[in-house]
Amino acid sequence: MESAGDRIPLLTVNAGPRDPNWADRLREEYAALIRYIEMSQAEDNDWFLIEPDDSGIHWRGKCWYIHELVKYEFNLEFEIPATYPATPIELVLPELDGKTHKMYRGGKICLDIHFAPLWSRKQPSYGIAHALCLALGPWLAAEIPVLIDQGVITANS
Amino acid sequence: MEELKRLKAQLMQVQQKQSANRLTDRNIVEIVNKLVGNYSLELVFTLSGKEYLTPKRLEQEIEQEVKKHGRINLIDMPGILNVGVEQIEKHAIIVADKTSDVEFINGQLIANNYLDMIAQEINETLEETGQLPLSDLTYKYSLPMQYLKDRIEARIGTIIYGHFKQNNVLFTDVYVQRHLAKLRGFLRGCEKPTELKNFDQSLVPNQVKDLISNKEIAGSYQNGTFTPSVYLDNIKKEIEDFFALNSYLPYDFVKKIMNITSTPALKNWINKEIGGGIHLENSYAKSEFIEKLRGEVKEALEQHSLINVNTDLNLPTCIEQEDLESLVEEGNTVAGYYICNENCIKKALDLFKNKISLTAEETKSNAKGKKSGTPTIPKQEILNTLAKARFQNADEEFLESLSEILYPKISRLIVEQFEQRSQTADLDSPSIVQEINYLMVCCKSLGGLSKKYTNLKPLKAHLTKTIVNKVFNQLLEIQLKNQGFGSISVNSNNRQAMIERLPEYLREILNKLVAKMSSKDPEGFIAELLDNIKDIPVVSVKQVDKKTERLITHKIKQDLKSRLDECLNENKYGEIVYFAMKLKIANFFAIDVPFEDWALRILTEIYEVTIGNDEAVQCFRFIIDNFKNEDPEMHERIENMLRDIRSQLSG
Repeated sequence: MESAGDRIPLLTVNAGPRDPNWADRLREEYAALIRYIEMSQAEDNDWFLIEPDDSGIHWRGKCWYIHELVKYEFNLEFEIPATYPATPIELVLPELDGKTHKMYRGGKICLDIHFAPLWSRKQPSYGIAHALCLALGPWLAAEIPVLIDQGVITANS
Repeated sequence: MEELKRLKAQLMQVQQKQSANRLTDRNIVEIVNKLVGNYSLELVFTLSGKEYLTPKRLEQEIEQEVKKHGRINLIDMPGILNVGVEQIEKHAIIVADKTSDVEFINGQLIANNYLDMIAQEINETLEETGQLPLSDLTYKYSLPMQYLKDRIEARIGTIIYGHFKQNNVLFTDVYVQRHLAKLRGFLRGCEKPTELKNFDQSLVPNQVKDLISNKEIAGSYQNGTFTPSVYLDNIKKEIEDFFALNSYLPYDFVKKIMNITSTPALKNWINKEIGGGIHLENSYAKSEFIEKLRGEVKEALEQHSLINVNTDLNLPTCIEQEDLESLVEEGNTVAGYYICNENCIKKALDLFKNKISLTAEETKSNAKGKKSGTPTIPKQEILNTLAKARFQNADEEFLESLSEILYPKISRLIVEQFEQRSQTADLDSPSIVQEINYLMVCCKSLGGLSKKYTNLKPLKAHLTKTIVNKVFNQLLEIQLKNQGFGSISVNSNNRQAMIERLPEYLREILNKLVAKMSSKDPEGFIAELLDNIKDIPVVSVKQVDKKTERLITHKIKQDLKSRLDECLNENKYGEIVYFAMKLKIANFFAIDVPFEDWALRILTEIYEVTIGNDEAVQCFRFIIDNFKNEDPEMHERIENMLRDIRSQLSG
């Protein structure tokens, strides 16, 4: 069975925020995100809520993870880098800054080992939706239960 | 730029949407299980396991299927409804219970419309054939007989036009009427007993009975055979003619002609239909006829003491050996084919007279030797004796039968004689011997006293009046019994008359004894008795010996002691004195004198001459003189004296 990541439409426009084609790229990004969100909702599996600024460079929102019937919700923010899409997006969970070593300073989640090689291989066809689906999603699934077990985060934090 | 804004708005809008509530199969299963477990939700699983049904839905589906097919086997339902057969069976029963026009029978559900349909089918077949056995229908529709019968009966008159008669056969009315008409015609034509094989066997018995009871035909019906009255009348007439002509009626003849097998039924029939006769072993005969035969037998027996039934009498063949008994008068005996009169039996018994008495005697001695066994003469010996004596020159067959008849008579005679002898032996009972012995001891006392004491006359008179008298009467009774006069009670009034009955030699002896009694001479009585004892039968006594004498004295003393003890306890002064004196002189004086004045005086006198004039005798005399005095002072004195006597006696 193909994974959710495989079903997200691939992007074609190779342009960063400073490129003249950024608007085209952004159009594709929106389309991919909408598609991904619809897929998630259809499977009763939506897990984030994000909103860009008008330029489409700064994004903010929330992501959540349900562990043992409790919903843990975190703020999410990221910025499209200037060298995008050659460089992957750095996803930031500010609330978890300093709570785990699987994270860079400033709350950026560590994607070097697993996601970065995949991204560099697939770029420019991967976009924001892919990053959320294939990087943040697995990271939450791997790290949050550990953090809950360690007592680093609690239901109300 | 506008487009980007629109896309952004679309993104936000999409994210705001409520996501579909999606549950996994596992969760669904768990939720359903929870509902079933906690909220008593009832569900039926399908065979494929992909669907649930509520029982209600299942029942609806079952009902629909039944009504669609009319009749459906439960085994076929899982394929149609995709539900396990157990569930279907469970709910099929519920459906049958709830729904009035669906029934559950033998693993099948049957709808009412199906039953209506087969009822129509049955009616069509019935109209063609006129009759239809239920067994055929149960086979055709493979339904239980009673069930099918009930369902058919419920539709009789509405769908099916016919009736059940006997043997569960369905008939149309037309068929039944036609059959009855045919049967009526046939039976009216019958002259002989006829088996009604060619008719419908399920209708015949009832219809024939109805015809008979409605008097449409005359006759009787039994075991599939109709016998017309005409035929019975003819037979009866034939039998009556035979009886009138021959005066008897052999059973075999009637049985054959009437087709009756059991003799009691035959006798009943004869009693009812013929009457006026007597039942013999194998035939029925007129009373006059039997009387005539009796007369013949009687006549023949008057001329001969023994007659052979076969040669001397001309009896009809219907008279069997067993019937002879009823032909002979009392006293005459039937032995095989012979009849003999009383005289003949007596003669035969005479042959055994000696043998009987001998056997009785042997039995008596055997009985003394404690050997048991009924006294008798063996049958073979009886037969041999009869044959040896060539009794009446009769043949061996008669002698055999006669010996059978004689055997119980002889045995009875032996027993009678034996008992007679035993009774005679009982007569020399020890009681009279004891009395005589006691009398002899008394006489000895008299002899002893006579040297010292002279006033013996009252004692002798007393002895004669009591013990001598008693001994004599007993002696006379024994002699009377021994002479065969039976048990007669003798007293002084009938004594002389009784003596007269005896043989002369006995009369002589007894008269001598009477003379001694009259002269009040007990000693003479004993002497006379001992002199003649050899000639007196049964009774045997001899002069009393020392041992017997001592025994008698001892017994008298024992008796006196116990009497005295009784009186001492009750303070009866007179009796105390009386018994005490008797006890004291018992060794010299055995005569039992009464408690009377004269006897007390004599007792004191004898006491004085034998024991001496001691304190006791003075005391006795004082008491005898005064014991009627009622002065209390005297009583006290007497009491003191008695106390002394008591201590003296016990010492």
